[in-house]
Amino acid sequence: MSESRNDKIRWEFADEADRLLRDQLRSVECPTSMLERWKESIRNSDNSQASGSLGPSEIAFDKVLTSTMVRGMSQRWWSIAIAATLICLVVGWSVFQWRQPSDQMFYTQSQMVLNGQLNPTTVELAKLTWFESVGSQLSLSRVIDTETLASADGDFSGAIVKISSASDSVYVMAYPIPRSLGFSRSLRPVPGTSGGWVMAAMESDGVLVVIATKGSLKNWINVNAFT
Amino acid sequence: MTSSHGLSTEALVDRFGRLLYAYAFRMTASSADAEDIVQNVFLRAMQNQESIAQASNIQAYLFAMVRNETSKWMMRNKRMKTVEDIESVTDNDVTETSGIDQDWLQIGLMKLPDAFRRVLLMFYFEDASYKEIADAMDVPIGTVMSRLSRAKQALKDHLTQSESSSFRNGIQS
Repeated sequence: MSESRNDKIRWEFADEADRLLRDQLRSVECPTSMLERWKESIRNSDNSQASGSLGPSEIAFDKVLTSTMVRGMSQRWWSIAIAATLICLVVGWSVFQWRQPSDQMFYTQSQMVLNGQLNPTTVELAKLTWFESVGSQLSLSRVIDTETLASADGDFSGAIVKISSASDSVYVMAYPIPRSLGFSRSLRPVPGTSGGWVMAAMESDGVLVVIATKGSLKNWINVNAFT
Repeated sequence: MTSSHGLSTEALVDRFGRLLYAYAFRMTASSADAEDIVQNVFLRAMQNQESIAQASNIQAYLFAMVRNETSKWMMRNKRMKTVEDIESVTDNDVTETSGIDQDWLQIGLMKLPDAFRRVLLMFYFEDASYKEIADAMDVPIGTVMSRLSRAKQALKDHLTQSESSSFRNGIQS
């Protein structure tokens, strides 16, 4: 009985507090002449509409934003964010792919080095380095008939250029070949790895291109070439 | 211009202007912003006579517009007002009325999270039911009940903390 009386008192207290809060929240004093200012701006707006300066079709009539519309806006933002992320991924992947040297690039380099279009000092330096350090560790003859790569007097008939990136470098060797040696027209890894060096080779239009790098070929040629 | 309710926009100003202003002020704690928000609502109401005419409850419609305008205002003013800001504003904008210290009430209100304040004001200003609030805020009724209860309690706690507050006296008298 006494509990029920206490409950009643609590309810009455709650109701009274609610009433008081409600009244107090609503009792905000308005700035002087606020309603008049609003009416004035309404009249001005009404007049400008009537004078045709701002036709109904030209006014941005926002509908009342319902919660559904707010949700729609939120979904739109999510869609935009997802689309932007996808675009970034595609662009990023494209840039990554673009930065990877292509078979064509190596072939072009080879043609240029064979035709003497590259700086002769650079080419000579690469050739020197190759034979002094790299060549001794990597035997081309194990995979390529080196006799075909020699000129009539038995001298090395190819040309070498070194291409470096920030983290790695690759030697590109180009040899003019009189006949096909049976290599693919795109770079394919070839056996004969030694001393941590790996090679890939291709041939095209009478030129054999061999690239050699200490590390991973995947840094230099399209990963898809291996699949 | 007169709507199908028989009320011109100016009549709407007379009838609902003060209440809408009070609502906007309680949400923003800024007299100037509250005035701008409600003025903008009336201008849009005048330009959007057809929608107003179709509204079954014109007061609820206007409150919805004020709520939306206030939400936009709050998104534009992401920096939340500090209590000091509110104190400086309320010193100028709110006068003491009988019962509760209005400055202290506004400070307590601004201390509430936005979602709680919105529920509380819909309840006290619009006399909206739980379901109406839930629909407007797109949350379950249980969430509305919980937020309202916690908001009320937080505000009452805040008000009863003040020694100068006559909240308790107001209830007990």
